[in-house]
Amino acid sequence: MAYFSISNSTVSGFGSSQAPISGAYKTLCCVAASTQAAVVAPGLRRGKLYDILIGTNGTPADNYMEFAVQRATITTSGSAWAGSLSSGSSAMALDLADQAMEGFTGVNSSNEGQVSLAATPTPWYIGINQRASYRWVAAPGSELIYPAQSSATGQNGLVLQARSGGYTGTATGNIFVQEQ
Amino acid sequence: MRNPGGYAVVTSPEPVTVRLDGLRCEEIAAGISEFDTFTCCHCNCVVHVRPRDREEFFCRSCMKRICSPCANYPCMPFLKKLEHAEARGEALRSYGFDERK
Repeated sequence: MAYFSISNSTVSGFGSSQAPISGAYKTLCCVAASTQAAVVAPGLRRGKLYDILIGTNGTPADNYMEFAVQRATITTSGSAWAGSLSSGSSAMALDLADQAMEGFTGVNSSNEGQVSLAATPTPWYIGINQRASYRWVAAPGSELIYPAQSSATGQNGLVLQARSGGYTGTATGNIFVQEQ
Repeated sequence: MRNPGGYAVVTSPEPVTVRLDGLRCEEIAAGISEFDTFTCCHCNCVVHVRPRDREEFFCRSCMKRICSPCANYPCMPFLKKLEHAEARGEALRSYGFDERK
């Protein structure tokens, strides 16, 4: 099992610039099962999201913001995304000695067409003032899990999204994932 | 709460209202506010628990905590749903439909 940190920071080595927040959900980070990299057969791996950090890095003001982790069918083609993506990469590994990530990761999507949200309960949601920051850490066994299946079969990943009716700056998101 | 399934912390420079889990709003003071959480065994949703809150739902089939929206539905553990979903993909591949992406 390998551990990864996926941040929408532009200095993380992948991803385009942070997308401005608007009234529609914008994807900060995503992770999905994929055979795109197929470093090790069979490629599809289940994953567990165990840590979420959110905040904003724009000018401080009083705006209501909503952050959510949602289950999604994520088109796992790097060329389909606005930001460059990394798959089969060890760039996000917490321990560089671990195996590279088998799954698919994306940050700073400015085109939500690649994310097809599922009509299922939102696994994690918080509505919060723009000035506040938040962190959630799961105890072992209580993580958010995504299945080891492809996007053609069904929901294959989790996305961290943000939206606001008033705030138009950028938001930060960081998720920690354990790949099985 | 006893044996929480997680821990959440909100850091705010001023008192704010937080909407948790899409179910309830809560006023929190300036500074650091902490919440215990648990993850619903049936839908895999994170639920923030109020301090000293005794209201919780418990599935007596899988003997785990569940969220209030899942309380009126029969027991179907989330891991079982995942196994069904993954088995479908495996079956399709075994039939020769290579639907991997």
